[in-house]
Amino acid sequence: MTQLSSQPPAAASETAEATTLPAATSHPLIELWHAFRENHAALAGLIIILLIFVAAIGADFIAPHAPTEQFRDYVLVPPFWQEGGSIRFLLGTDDVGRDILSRIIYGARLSMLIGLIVVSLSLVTGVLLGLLAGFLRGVVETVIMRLMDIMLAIPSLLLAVVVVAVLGPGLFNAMLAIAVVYLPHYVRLTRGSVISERDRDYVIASRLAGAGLFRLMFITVLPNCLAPLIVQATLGFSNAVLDAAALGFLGLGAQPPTPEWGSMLADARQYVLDAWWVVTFPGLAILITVLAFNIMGDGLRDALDPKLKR
Amino acid sequence: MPLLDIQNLSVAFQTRSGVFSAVTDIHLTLDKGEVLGVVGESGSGKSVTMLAMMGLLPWNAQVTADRFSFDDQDMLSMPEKARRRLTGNDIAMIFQEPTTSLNPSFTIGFQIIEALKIHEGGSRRQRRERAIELLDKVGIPAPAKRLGDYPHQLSGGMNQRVMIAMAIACNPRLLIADEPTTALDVTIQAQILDLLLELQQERGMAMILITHDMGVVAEAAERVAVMYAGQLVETGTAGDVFHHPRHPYTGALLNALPERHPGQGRLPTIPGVVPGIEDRPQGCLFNPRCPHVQEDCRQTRPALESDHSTGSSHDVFKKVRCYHPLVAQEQGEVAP
Amino acid sequence: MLTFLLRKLALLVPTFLGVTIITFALVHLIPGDPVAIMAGERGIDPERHAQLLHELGLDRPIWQQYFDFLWRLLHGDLGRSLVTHNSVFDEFLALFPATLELSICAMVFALVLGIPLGVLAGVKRGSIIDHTVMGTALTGYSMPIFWWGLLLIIFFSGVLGWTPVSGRLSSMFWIETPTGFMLIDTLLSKEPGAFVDAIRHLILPSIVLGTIPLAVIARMTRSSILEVLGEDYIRTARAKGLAPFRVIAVHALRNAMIPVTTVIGLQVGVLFAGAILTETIFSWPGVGKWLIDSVSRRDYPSLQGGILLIATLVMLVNLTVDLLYGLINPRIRHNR
Repeated sequence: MTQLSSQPPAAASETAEATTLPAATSHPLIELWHAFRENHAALAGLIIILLIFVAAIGADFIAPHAPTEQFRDYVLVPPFWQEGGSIRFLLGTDDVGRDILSRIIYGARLSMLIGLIVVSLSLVTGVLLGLLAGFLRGVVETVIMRLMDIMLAIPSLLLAVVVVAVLGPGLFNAMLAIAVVYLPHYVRLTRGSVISERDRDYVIASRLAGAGLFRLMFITVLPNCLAPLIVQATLGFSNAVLDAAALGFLGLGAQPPTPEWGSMLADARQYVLDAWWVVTFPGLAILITVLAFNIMGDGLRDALDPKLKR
Repeated sequence: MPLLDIQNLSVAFQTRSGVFSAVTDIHLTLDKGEVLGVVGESGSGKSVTMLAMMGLLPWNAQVTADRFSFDDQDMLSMPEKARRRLTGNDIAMIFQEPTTSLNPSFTIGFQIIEALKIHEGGSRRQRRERAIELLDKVGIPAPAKRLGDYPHQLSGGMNQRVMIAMAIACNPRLLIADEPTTALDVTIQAQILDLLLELQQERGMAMILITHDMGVVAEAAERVAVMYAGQLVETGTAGDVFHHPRHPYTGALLNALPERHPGQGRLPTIPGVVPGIEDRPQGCLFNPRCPHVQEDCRQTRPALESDHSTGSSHDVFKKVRCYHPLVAQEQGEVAP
Repeated sequence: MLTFLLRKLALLVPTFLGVTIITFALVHLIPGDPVAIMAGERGIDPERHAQLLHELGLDRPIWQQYFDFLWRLLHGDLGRSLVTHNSVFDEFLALFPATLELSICAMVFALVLGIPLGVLAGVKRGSIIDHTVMGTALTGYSMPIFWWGLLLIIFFSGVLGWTPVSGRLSSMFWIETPTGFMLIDTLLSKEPGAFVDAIRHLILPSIVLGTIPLAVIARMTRSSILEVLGEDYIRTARAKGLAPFRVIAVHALRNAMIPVTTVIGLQVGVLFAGAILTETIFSWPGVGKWLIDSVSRRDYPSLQGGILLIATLVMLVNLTVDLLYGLINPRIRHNR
């Protein structure tokens, strides 16, 4: 609270009448960081995300055991603080004696990978389609946007289930399905931004200066549509993790013995009333990850707000 | 016993970066049936003062006063509930933007009857008849049919008439009109003003007319208070203030009236803007824009003091906040 | 209003056709033809295979098959399940009340809690209440509901033993189900205790399914209320002397609900998606579980029909929401 940054505080916008002078020209990313840093919850989200990424990358060194190693003599061992628990298996073991903590750590690797791949796939494709729809208009626009409407008419998880049904169950197909499901959001967002930017003076100036369509799309207009896309991508990451886990839970995503959080829960379902730890910890991992991304997404949106509210 | 008596009223806003005082040192008295014009540029604290009077300021506002009474009841110590019985009933207010000041989701009938319902009671039918009567009173044609209309179906002028009907519904003794004509077409402005004055006379209401238009004040008010940057700079009878302005700001405002410069191309303006709540200057608040500024104006802030230099000897309201007030001269020309 | 309705309906037609194309393509994109799937691992001799293909019309050009499909669709024929050989439409219809009942209860849960909490958070902006409500809402929004369901089962069914683990009604009751809605059917059956038992079965699934809509509605209500509270007409309402509760419950809420209804409409899709997971956890015999079972049994006609029906329902609900939106927002009602 006390550390007001050097430039006029953008947050204290109560005195909005006062013309906000452009601050000492710092990079927009630095300004974004200053606004973001004010939001303590969002900062906490970012730290948790970084920790998860560290766990994901360093799983081989951090995890006490291999994710699929079965300790036949230690089946359904409770967490270490409970009676019968062992310090060897901090969060207990599952029904075939695998260490739950290790599986969760390796699961983080899988979830981060899922998030990255899904977001990249739908972001790149969605932005491309959105730019095309926004710039070419006419038939191209109608076809693309109608298609997106159709996809939005089918509830997200249901659409993912359909895609998996066609492609067959499995982690990769699940990722593809989720990427397809979230495509319309990016397309709509990009097209909306393009349409609002398209007729602005700087774009027309660039066009008059002889910029080609490609240059106009990617160099002139796209950077000015980034703010909402960044927020959507952050929130999309959490959606991807959540939906991949849901598909895994339904048996349509990652297949056993892959240490994926959702499929771990599917395995654990039958022990709901006997071994709470088998159920609790993988779900907690999903919740914390998704929550961290959502908090950060909210924080980013608030930090970028002046641009979004325009 | 004045109807409204305000001595040394201040309003401050508590924000994250500190406390900012919006208005300070306000003294106003108003008798029954009297019309007071409050004049000043935007940002001079007129509206904040009036909202304080209505108890409508946001929660982070702190209102203090030596005396703040309506009809001899202390408004500051009054419990919230008793105060709400006064607002909308004995003290009513109409606002600048009629179209946004009416709730878009309810019919105008509902909104007028609602005011009657909480303060007057009576049967459903009586209230309805009274609402029709009120609409008729404010000059809305076919009032019975209009009851079921939504605000967006009426013009701005009609909406302002509805606002007035709502305000006078419970026969208030004080009506505060916050720039009631600013947002309307020029042709409608005079009509609305005339309507307000007619109602005021007929009912013997006291009225505070807030405006930045000196012409409106000249037409309507008996007494005038001029505000600048959250302070009163001059008060007096309308005649005195218009013919013998004492504060340089009042002089400059009058000088900017088109009527005073017939046939001339450009009107004189006051350079600069009203200082914001956070960047008020040292000394007299008007000193950066004052054409007659002297050294002492930059040092300390002058107090609002009684002024007996002008003719009207009986005028106890004549006060000015200036070290070097203007000397009374011929109308339209001002010099130190 | 009628033209508005017709225009919206006209827009639905291409979307609906698109959905039929997608669902039609679904079956044809799947490796292996339906006859082979039906035959399963037993295999089938080529001659019989060709004959069956012909009988099912699968040897004709693909566009002809599509128009066939569309034609049958228009007559309410969605084909037969490969597993039960019942009409897909009838199966859907038999299971749908279970899903609908669950969805309605979930939505009621979400609305009854979400709107007041959102209003409270908005009115008490920045307070501990606000932070708590919004923190909880974000957690709910991030909740993997299949895990949430399991947790609730562990606690309420396992530890406390308050609620049953699965199904719609305990097996000790055997009642007629003329409507398919267990709450209504148990009441009709006059079987003592059956109604309470049905409610006990509904509680946990409703909470699980309602969690995400609850979070979304609370967040949306809060931001909508915040926006509305800054409007001029709220000031007018307060200037009438209305109690704070009435200002919020009548003047703010009605306007704040306009954007919230849109969000509520969008939650219907979320509910169907959530129903898949919720019904799987609680062995709830509805269309969600049926669809997942169809996937694992490779019962493609059921999957195809189910998705088509659900997509149509979602579109119709969104249309209804659009109309409702017009009803509560008078500005739209009159301008269309």
